[in-house]
Amino acid sequence: MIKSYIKSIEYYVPKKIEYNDQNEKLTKKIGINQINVVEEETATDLAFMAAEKLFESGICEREHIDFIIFCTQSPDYFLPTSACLLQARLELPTKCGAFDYNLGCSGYVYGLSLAKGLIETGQAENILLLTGDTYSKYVNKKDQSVKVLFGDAGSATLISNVNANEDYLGPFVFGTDGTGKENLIVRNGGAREPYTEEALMELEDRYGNLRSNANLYMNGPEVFNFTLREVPPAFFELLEKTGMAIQDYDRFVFHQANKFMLEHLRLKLKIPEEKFTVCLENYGNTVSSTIPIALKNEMEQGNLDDNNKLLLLGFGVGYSWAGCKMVWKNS
Amino acid sequence: MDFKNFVREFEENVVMVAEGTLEMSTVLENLEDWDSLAVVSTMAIADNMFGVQLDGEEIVSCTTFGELIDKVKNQLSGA
Repeated sequence: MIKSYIKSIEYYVPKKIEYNDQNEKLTKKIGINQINVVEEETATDLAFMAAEKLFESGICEREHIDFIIFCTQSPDYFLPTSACLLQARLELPTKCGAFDYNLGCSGYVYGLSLAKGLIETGQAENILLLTGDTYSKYVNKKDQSVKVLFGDAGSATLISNVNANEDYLGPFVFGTDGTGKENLIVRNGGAREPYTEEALMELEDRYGNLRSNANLYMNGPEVFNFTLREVPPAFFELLEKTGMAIQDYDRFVFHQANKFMLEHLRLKLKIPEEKFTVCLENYGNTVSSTIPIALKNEMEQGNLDDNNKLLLLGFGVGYSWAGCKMVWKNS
Repeated sequence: MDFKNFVREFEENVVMVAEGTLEMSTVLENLEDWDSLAVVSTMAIADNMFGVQLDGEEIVSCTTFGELIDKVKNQLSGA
């Protein structure tokens, strides 16, 4: 049977580093020491660089890629599609399929699901799943509530076909609650609320943070509540769907929102610390890139062995969440 | 319900003051560490200790520590 699996992962972060104040208790709580932020680069550039790293590694020839999927909330243009621009820049075959999709922290797991669907129905053989975001462009520099959390990054995952009896990707669980839209949003600039002069006016919130309606806004407490409400049921649904218990998994890789939230979730779900990935000290919350970055880091540290069972779970802006089982396959 | 532990945890890990500092009449905004992270931390300990979800806006609307305790109690009795 045709199965899909992750063959390789690379990521790229922009050169410029911003450091969080080590003397702030906030820094310790969120577990983020530094983030990378773009200067001139766009999210498409970050994804491009990650993809170039993948090709330079020699794992795959450009001519063998037959699909590009790009997850971003910071496209280069309203149109055309950034994935089309990437096809040209990466010099991939014109017979490539290519599209963008707009998701945040749940985006990587969605991408794996899309890739699995395309490969296992015989529509594609080698898919380049790219993620990239530059929330720093949306963040007001005087808004500490988000400035210290979000870092810019891009990732490239090669998903290929293989003849096997067991799944490497899946099963999946998904969830959506659009009533949470107000709590994590860049309000102005799209079709619903175009830029106006008023939109660019900066207002101060009760904690002294400044932002305009063209900036990223996050209602931290409400997003935290959403996570407490939705992540545990999704997690247990996935355990049930896979017929596996916590002890049957080798590793849990969740979206790296911040350390405080991850630790709270870990204790609530009773996941052993040694199986739970925390990888945000040096990158922060890179939205759809946190899971591939975490996977790559675990790989480089020798923590992923052939046939390891992993549980991935992304959750955030939308609200949107998605989780899946993944079996690691050494290439 | 063990509110003593909740108060101790709140003092130690949320607003970071010495044990026994807080009184019901203490004004939250006068505490140096009462910020948006403190609101989230309050929600986290309420979830840990009592398994209840507090509304962020409701916590923010509390003026005194006593009001906050009442909110938690109300949530518990309503749950």
